[in-house]
Amino acid sequence: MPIIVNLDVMMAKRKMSLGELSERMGITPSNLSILKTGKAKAIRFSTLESICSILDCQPADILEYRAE
Amino acid sequence: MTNKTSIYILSILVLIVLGLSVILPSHQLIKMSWEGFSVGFESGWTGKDNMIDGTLLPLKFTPTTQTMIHPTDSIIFDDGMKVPIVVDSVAVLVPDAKLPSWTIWTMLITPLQFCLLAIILWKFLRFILNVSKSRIFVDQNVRYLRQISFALIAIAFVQLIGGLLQDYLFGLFSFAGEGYDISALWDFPWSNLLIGVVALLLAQVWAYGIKIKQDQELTI
Repeated sequence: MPIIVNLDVMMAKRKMSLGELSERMGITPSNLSILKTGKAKAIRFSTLESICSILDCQPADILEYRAE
Repeated sequence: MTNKTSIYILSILVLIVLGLSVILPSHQLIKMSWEGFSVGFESGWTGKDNMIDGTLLPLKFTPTTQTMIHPTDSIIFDDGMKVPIVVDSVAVLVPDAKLPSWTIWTMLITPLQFCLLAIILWKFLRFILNVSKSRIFVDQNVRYLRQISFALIAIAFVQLIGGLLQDYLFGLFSFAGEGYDISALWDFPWSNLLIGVVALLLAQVWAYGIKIKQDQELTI
């Protein structure tokens, strides 16, 4: 898929672990892992809002389009 | 009533209908044979008489308008009353000597149908077993539904071949029936073909449902 999820990059910048982020977002670490590893097929606006709010970033910092 | 309970009830109903569709005609055939032998013994048949080795060729009798108005045949009731009858179908015992040698292969048609029916029953039971374990939208169920539909379509084709063979055999002999138009007795297996195609459509819908479920599961 040409949409790249840069969640791991943003988490590293903010020095936040997967467990901590998932706990603050109120979702399971396995679900967040699906998003982080790029296996997710869709992302809800509410999830994106929550990530941006906790990591203090913009949606474009998390998602990137790269032509195949 | 929960969804699961209604699925169980409907499954049992399907099995009952399927069972009855096999048992009742068999029971009727055994009963008719038994009654036929009883009448034969009563009228002095010893079982040592020479019987014709032959193949039963079912024929469809379509009465002409003249026969419908003035039936030529009749039966007598217990009280002696004679009533006219119109024949709808008969089975002619064609001596084996008169049949081409390859017609022995036609005997495979009925066992083949039973084999396909057994496959359908087995796959249906596996499908219901999966549903009972709450494994509903899984690839295995799509496979079972596809196999059931292919088996149903195969049964329809086997019946079609059987019918065409009957047509061919009918063409080999010239049967004369006064007041009737005679043809080979078989109908195109529309119902099996229709159920088979509907099952195939259901399998495709099921596969689409699985895709939607997977998309749903991978939405974070």
